[in-house]
Amino acid sequence: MLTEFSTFALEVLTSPTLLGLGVCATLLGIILGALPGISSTMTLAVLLPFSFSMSPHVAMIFLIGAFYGSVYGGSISAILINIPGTPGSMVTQLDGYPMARRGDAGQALTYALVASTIGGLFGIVGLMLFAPILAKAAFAFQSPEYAVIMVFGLSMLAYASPGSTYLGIMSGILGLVLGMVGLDVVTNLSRFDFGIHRLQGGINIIPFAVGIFGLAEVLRLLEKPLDSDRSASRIANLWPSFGQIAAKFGTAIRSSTIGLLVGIIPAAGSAVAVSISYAQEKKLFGRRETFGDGNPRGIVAAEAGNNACVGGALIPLITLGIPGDTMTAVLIGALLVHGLRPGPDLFVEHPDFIASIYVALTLTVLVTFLLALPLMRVFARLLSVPPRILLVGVLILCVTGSYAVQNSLFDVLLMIFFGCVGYLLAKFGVPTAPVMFGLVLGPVLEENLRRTMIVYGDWSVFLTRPICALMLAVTAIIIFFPLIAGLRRRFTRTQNA
Amino acid sequence: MSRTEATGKPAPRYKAGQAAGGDGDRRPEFTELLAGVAFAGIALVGMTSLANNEYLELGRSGSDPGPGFVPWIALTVLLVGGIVHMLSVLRRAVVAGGFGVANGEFSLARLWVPALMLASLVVYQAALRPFGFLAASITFGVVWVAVLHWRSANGVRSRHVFQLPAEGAALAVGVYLIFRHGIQVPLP
Repeated sequence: MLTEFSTFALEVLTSPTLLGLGVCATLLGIILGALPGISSTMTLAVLLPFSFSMSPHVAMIFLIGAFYGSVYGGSISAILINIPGTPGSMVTQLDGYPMARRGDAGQALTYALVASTIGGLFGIVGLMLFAPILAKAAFAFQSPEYAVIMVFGLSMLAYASPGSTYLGIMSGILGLVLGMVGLDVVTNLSRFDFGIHRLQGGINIIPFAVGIFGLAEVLRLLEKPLDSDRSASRIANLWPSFGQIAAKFGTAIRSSTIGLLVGIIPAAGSAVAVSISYAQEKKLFGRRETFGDGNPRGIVAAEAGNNACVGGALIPLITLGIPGDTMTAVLIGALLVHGLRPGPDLFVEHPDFIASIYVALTLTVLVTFLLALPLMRVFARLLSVPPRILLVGVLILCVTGSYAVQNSLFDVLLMIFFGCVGYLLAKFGVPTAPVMFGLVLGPVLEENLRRTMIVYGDWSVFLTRPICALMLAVTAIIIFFPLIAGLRRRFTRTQNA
Repeated sequence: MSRTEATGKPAPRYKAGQAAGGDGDRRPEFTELLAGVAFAGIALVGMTSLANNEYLELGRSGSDPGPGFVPWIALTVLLVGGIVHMLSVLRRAVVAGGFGVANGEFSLARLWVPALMLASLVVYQAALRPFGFLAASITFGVVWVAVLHWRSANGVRSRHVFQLPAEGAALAVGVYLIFRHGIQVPLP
């Protein structure tokens, strides 16, 4: 793997095109991530069609650049205008904005950048260490294990999604059904095509993702008049002293560790990682320092955890094919579009591709560190771009991107349809991310389930194989825990009354 | 702008344990019922589609599942889950004495712009082939930049007469150049 890593890294560093693409993608990600209302998932979904014409390796440089860039970019608006650009930067604003209000916006942004870089590099090291180990273990898995892991992953993803767990699971099942649209892989019979022959090829992931994460979010933003009066804090005095930064190093390492571990858990996501990281530091330093009124340690904890989570979330993606969060679910979509199925086989069949992921992430972290500081004032100025320009630009991109995948106007209609579905589901209080998880994991689940039935001929195989039994037990706990907890609360209340 | 709006996530209505058997002190919103209706409705549509295709057999569970096997399981869970959710919401509504006061989620004041946007996107899509990408996109861009500016209540000054159409046209031309000449996508 080290050879592939070095070879591809050298190729990128000596190719002005690849290097330029990495830099552009990262800057684009930072800018879009910084803009309020444009989440990381939306950024990835809207940029996904651009990757279609690229080779898988180049696509990874582009998409991971945009992905990581947007994660960092979220902290800029959180600090400067108190609006988190991404869910992962919600905690950054707690201390970042008060710092900006008292005139230390530059220092707050620098703390965020340094912590992001430490977290990002920590995530890469974790990814390079743990992914091969997990992939090696996953080689022992056969179809029953894969089927159960998909069920487990889907349950975790639904459980960790914002909103009701129950509706999250239902939303995931809806995604499973959508994943079954089109020709059955075993019998070649068409399912759920409703007489529309274009649906026989299945639901293309790109129009789906663009609709449900791009258009649906724009529709939500359009419900209220757009606020175009955003005054960002002035940026001056960028650098804190070296001693001040060094004093937060322990915080960065602790939070990066938490971010990495949380990222590995399917769907736990950056919001969970930053909350735990922040709470941990508050617990450790709460008696000596105050949090929530401009403490740089709070920014470091949140940003290190947030960025380490990126590397962690990629681990289940490349080893098991389970997305670590919504953003990585969109990345899975990109891999599938390029004919690559994530899983342990990737390590054997396409080690160069795995290396390209490592290189892309390393490049992005370094590019962000080197370019973000000198461009900080430019990013701040971009926050005052009128929302009308952003939203109309995103909408034209949604339409063009969906069309560009197969030069098909039907895909544009599909994107509009799923935008409408995503918008309505959100209004009904149903989390929309699990639909995407279901769509991605559904076909793999069905294939492995049916293969298990054909090969083993018996349902009991899921209980007699230890990994399957363990995973099923955990899945059952995830599914039934909310129900049992609710009943228990009611019982306790009845007893007290 | 609230945090929820900024991140684009649906607001958590209630957490674990409150659906399908959870507590029922708070008046449920009518939209919660609609979630169950939507799931059950989708399941019924899917089941009808499966039932109408005689080739989509269930197969033999446990040894040779057919192409309809997993879809039937998923749709049954979706249907039952949707009904259970509806019953749970209705039960909570009965216990709490009715549905909660509507918070305007479906008021015309909130919905008209998204609805207009969806309609205009369908028209935009239909116009792409006959009028060409540039003409359709410039029209879409100019109209919506103007509508959104008007909605932001910033006032229309004489400079906007030129500025707003220029912004809309620039967006469309920019996207065209990126796709057509940047990544060589043949646009209509």
